[in-house]
Amino acid sequence: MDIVYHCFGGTHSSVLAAALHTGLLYDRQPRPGNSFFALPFFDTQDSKSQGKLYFYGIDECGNRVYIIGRGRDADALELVFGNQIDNDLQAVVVNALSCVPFLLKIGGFISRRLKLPRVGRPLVLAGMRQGYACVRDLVYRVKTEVREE
Amino acid sequence: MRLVYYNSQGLPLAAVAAAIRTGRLPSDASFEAAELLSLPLINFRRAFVFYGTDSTGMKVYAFWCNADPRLVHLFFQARGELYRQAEEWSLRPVDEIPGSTRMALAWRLARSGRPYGRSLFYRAVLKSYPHFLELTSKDP
Repeated sequence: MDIVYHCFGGTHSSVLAAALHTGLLYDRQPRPGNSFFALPFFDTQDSKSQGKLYFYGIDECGNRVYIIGRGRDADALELVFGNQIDNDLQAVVVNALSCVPFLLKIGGFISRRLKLPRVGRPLVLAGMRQGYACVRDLVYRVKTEVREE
Repeated sequence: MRLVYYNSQGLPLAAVAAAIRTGRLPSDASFEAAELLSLPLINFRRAFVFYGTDSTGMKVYAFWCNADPRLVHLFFQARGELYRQAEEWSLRPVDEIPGSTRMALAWRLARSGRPYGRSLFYRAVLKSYPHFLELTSKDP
């Protein structure tokens, strides 16, 4: 099965979720610090990368995990990736933006849109720490549901 | 190849185009409002729906959703990569049909429950029908 995590830019919350899902980050580690910035695609994507699908890794059950940035068009993404057109196609599309605190939004905007990473990254880090537990729970729920299917 | 008529303003004009291409609506403007308003999912704010096959055997879909058209293209590309589909999606925009502002206004009235909104939408579609026919007669 394919699992697609999506968020606004495809560079913060979806990357964190994909990293937790594939085991790049150990999910019992309490709020890792600067290790976030060592994750592939973390805080590196910009608006030109939106809409492009990136393969992130394979989880322990053999599911392929992807990330994508979708701007404000979550509905369009979910329609296009949905399986109502071909019932035999299976992908789980997960909105990781639901876990993003305001601080991360501001930090992400400053770092990626305004291209001021020195200012934005401390806010991103603080926001990631705030939203970490939520993303971890989200990934846990996705993994449980995928296993049940 | 699969043909997708899409509207990125969230209007079901893509459904009209797909219906003409697949023969659900006639190739002249001789249809009733009920025929138009009973097209699959036409009352939805957003949809991605298979409308049938055209005379050449090509699968025809309608997609409408309020979204950035550039991203819609990229999402379809990404879908092809994700599902490793050999079949290509050919996307045809139904955004700039003449009279689309009139149709958008009428559709918003209809969506808000005004009794005359649906009839206005039907009339607006009839008025722009030659443009729909021209669009759907082009080969993808």
